[in-house]
Amino acid sequence: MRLPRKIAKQKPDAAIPLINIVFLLLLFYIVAGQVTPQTPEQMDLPVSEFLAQGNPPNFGTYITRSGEIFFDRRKISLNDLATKLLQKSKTETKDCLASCRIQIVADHRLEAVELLRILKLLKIQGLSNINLATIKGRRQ
Amino acid sequence: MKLEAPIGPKRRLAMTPLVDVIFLLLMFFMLSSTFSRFSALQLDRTQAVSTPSAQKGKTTGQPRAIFVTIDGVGNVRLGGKNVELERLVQAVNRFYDSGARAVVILPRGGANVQDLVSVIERIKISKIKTITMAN
Repeated sequence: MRLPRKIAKQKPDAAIPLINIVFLLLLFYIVAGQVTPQTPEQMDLPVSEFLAQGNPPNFGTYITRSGEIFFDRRKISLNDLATKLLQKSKTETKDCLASCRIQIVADHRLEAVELLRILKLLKIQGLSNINLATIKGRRQ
Repeated sequence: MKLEAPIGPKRRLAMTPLVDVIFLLLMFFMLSSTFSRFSALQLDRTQAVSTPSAQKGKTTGQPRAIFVTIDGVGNVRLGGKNVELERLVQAVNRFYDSGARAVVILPRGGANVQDLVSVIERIKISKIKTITMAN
């Protein structure tokens, strides 16, 4: 008995290499991309054109547009931030005051005077090495 | 034991529509998301002091300082004159050539962090290396 072979049955076999490619692309995106953490208020980083590119910032410490400071996803006041950062820097390296850098993310619409106030207070506490996170690009 | 399949002939699951859907999802994410390139503005030699007069060079040994004001609209004033961001580096270099060795940035109420970052990054690529912020 001759069973006619239907062409339709060939399709799944040809689709397997396609699925391989799709999985490869998906894996690439999973590995290469990072989703930026969610923040209560929309955070838009300031744009910088000439600074060297670096790693994506961690949103451990961030300051929203209205001047609220968040540390570890919880809103804290400026004094608490200073103490927390000091604690953190002490636990991470032995004596960090001279050389360790603290990363701060600030929204680009935050008042500059407000940021200066925060930086000044941190400096008084001894935290004067600060990295302000920016995005590379051109100003609109 | 006689097992009877309720559906008669065996049917293979059609994989092609599944792959189509995955392609569509992938295309959507590829087109709608962007890879952001991040950088960091280093504020270590910048100090937030509150008295700009200390930098004016009246005491010996202090570097001569020039003042950059950022106002609420985003205008940048250097040496009393409005200067555009594109010309800021040039202008600062000219002040360097006439002896200035420090810049004091004075943001006014209404200036935002974006303006501050733009000014600081341009001064960082100019010849003057000492940057101070005050308010």
